[in-house]
Amino acid sequence: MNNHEYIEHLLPDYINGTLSEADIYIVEKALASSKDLQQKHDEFVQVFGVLKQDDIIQLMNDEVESVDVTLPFKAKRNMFMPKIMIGTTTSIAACLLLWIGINNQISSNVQNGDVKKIPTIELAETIDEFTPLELQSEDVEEVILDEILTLYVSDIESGKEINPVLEKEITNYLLQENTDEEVL
Amino acid sequence: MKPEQDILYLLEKGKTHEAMSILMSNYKRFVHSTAIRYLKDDDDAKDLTQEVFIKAYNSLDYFRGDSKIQTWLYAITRNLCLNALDKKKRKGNVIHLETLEVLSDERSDRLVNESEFSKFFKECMSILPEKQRETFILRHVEELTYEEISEMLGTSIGGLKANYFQAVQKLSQYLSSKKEGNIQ
Repeated sequence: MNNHEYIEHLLPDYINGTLSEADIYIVEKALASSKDLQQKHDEFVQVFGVLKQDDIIQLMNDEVESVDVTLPFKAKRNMFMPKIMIGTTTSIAACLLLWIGINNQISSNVQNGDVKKIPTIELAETIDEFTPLELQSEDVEEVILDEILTLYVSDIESGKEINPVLEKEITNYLLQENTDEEVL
Repeated sequence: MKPEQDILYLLEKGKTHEAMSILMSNYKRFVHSTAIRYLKDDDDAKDLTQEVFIKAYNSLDYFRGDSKIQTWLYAITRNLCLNALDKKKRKGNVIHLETLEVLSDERSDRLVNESEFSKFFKECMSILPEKQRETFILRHVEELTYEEISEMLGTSIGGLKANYFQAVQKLSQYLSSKKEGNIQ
């Protein structure tokens, strides 16, 4: 394509004002120096003058007025669920599953006897008012056990009558301690 | 917001019916005028417009805005038009005499009611080959960019510029001949 043809091809867009500034400059420069191009430009102006965009659109709008489009709207299953609802449901389900799992594991361990029993002991001084004590901390446990063992030993040495419950607990504790040492 | 953005926003929100209403009100003219250009029959074009929107509605869920809505609708319209023309060709032009008389009466009634400009515009478009006519309408009337037209018609931008120029040139020659009285 030579330069003249290239500029000719730009003429329709130049007339409709849809050309870039750089191309407008090229076309105007060429139009100023070429009578042939000027004549083509005038002819094209006439074409766009009789086939105006607005008139064509108006014609198309008139024609489409009688077109009635009705769609057979299908009854879509409403699968839409807000994201917040999905998130909440999932979280609740996860919590439930976790809770059920933990419960099952605990009951299975209880059945198998795997749960470490918390030692329940009575203090030697208050042996008559028997009160079970659940030990919460290893430090407290150690201090109390030392105290009990001391009292137990002193009772044996002084020939006092030993409470059978206390004796059983201490025996169990000592046996447990021996087993742990063997394992170690 | 532009209709295209409105439609995509509504689709994202799952409001297909609302999206479809905007789509039809904004692109009905475009679809119908494209169908008329291909089928050259108003009644067929009306039926096809309906068909295009049903097809668009059924596949709207898959439209994700990769191409412009106008480009997408043009592709649907063009395909359905070509299929309809193909069907017509295969069926052959076997028309009974009674049907021909009815059609002839309808056509003459319509021509009487048709405006001067409408007749003139159809005449002008009829002298252009398909690609030039489509390029002329899409560029001059629909004001689409060459890039958009290129996507619709599958023609290079250079080719489209040449088509547009040739269309305007042919129309210019046609107008000159009409003026000189060579064409009635």
